[in-house]
Amino acid sequence: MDMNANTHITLRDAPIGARCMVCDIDDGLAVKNRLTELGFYSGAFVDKLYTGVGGSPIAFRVSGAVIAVRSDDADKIIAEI
Amino acid sequence: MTEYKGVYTIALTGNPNVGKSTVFNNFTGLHQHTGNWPGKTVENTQGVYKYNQNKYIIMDLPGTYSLTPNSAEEQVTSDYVKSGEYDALVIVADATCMERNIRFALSIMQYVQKKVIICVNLIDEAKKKGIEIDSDKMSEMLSVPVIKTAARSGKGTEKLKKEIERICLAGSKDNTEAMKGDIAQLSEKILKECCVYKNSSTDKRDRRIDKVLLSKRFGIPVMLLMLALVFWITITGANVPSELLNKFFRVLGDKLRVLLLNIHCPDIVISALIDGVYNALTWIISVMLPPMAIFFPMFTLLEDSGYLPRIAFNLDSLFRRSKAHGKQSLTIAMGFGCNACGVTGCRIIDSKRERLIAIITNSLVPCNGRFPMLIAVTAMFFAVNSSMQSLILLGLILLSVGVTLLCSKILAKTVLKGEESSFVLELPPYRRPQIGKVIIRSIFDRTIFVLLRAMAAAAPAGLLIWILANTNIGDTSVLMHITNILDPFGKALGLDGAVVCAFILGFPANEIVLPLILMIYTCGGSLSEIPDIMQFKEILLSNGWTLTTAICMMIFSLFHFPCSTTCLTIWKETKSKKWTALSFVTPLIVGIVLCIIVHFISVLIF
Repeated sequence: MDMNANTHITLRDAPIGARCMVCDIDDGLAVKNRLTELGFYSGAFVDKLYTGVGGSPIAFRVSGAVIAVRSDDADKIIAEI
Repeated sequence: MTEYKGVYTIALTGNPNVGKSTVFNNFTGLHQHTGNWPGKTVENTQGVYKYNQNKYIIMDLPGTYSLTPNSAEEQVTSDYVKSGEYDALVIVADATCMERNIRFALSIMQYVQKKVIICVNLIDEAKKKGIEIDSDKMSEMLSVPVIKTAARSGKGTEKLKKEIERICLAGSKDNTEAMKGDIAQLSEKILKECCVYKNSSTDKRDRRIDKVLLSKRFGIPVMLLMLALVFWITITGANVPSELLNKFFRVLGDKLRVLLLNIHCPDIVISALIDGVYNALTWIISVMLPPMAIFFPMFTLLEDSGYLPRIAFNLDSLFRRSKAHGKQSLTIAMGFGCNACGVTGCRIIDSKRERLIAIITNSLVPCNGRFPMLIAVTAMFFAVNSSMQSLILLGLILLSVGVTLLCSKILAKTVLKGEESSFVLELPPYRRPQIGKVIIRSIFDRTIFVLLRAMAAAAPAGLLIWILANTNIGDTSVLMHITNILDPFGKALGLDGAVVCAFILGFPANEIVLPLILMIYTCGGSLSEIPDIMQFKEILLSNGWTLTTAICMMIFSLFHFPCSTTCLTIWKETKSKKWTALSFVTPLIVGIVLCIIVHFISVLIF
């Protein structure tokens, strides 16, 4: 089995409990700046913690704090598991 | 007059939730006041403290995540920090969240090369989580003083004051050298060398709690249960004090009457004072005050513990479907305490459109002043014991929230159309609230303020009613004329002219509506003593009240125009006559429509 593949996944699709490393945030996202300030920057590690009813919002442990974002926005954040 | 050697200005900045205000309160105690930044609707909290014969003016800047502002609050903080118009800048950091806080501190230090002090707060919580900070090493690496504090218990605050004085008097080192290079790399370096994490997972307890409170199955039920519990405690807790106060005021009232008689005060004045003013005032104190005095601190405790953002998390999808912002659940929660506070709280919603929706619909949720009204009517007509009362109250709240969502949706589809904005929310760590301080703060800030306001509104209103009831035009009193005019409108709503009149006069403060109804029914005169709940019911029944009237009363209590304080606050926040008018009219229309419907249905059935 090819162990080389680094799976790229959006933070929305990542499974609960997974630890991901943020690669990039879609430039079209209005809150990109706010998210970067809160710790969703390239190379940062985030843990997916909880999701609300219907899959939104999603709570992540990031930069030592817990931040919740809507699933639509999480879909624009690309990370590696 | 105290002579000070010097007067200095200190600015306090930091992320939200780092305990900045705890530091501020620790330094200033009661010597603080909140105003607005000139020309903006952003709070400016300033305080004063003395240290070694110097006077320090300290500014508690609004919490911000960065110097690139995303809201009016952050703009104010950013502008002020960059202006350098202070003698020292204290950056408060959360020891349990150093990764983000260090980056924040560094981003500030890019703009401010001197006068910076870093205060690493919440050191006690960090210790519990196995986090240790080497402040000396950090200070060395950054060329700025780093002081560790646990502001809640006062640890480290003396040291901080000392360091602030040193910077103000002797100046500080320039930290540009230390700041060379990439911020990200620098912050990683500092994190690695100055922060030790003994446990791999430092927030186990919080995560365990959140697993329940945020779970899809238990989250919302637990929320409802907690709300019901809060109501139950308020209702049961208020019973005994209410009775005691009632008895006390009766005795006092009799003594006052005798006293006035003895000094040969004319009968008419005695009647005006005792039957008019005294009765209204004491009814408010004995019936309205105890529930408010219990509910408000409990609510504040809930706020301080960190639970409220979890509510926003659970309810976000619901609000989104109603085209409203997820944080509106928070402003609604604040509105439970006081509608005016809820309106000010709408500042947490950045987008103007969604903020307006939240402001306009805020009064659809009952505030602290209306709870006693609802509790009293429920007790009189519907419920036998406290548990039933709590459940009914819970049902009323759910109705309110449902109507709020509906109105938000309607507003979003008509006058306030537009883009939905994003929702990013921090879930802070759970903190044990300082119960003693909360109770004292509640008593001084809220309970006394509301009491004074109610008294200031009730005394004149009570007197007015007495005058109207005892002045005759033709062979009926002016009061009767007025209530007769309002009667057709009132009856259409399932109420009557007296109730409508009371609501109108109750514009300054909702707490006085029930006492006013009482006074109007007893014609402001034949009340020889203050009735208890069951006697009140008798008076209502003998004035034509039925079960339908009680239901319509509760509905109208929930949905009528906002009180004068709230209207004023809305005006200050929106600076627009149009939106203030809409905020006044929206709950009123809802109330009128619902009452007419209920009345109509009951006429059909009976």
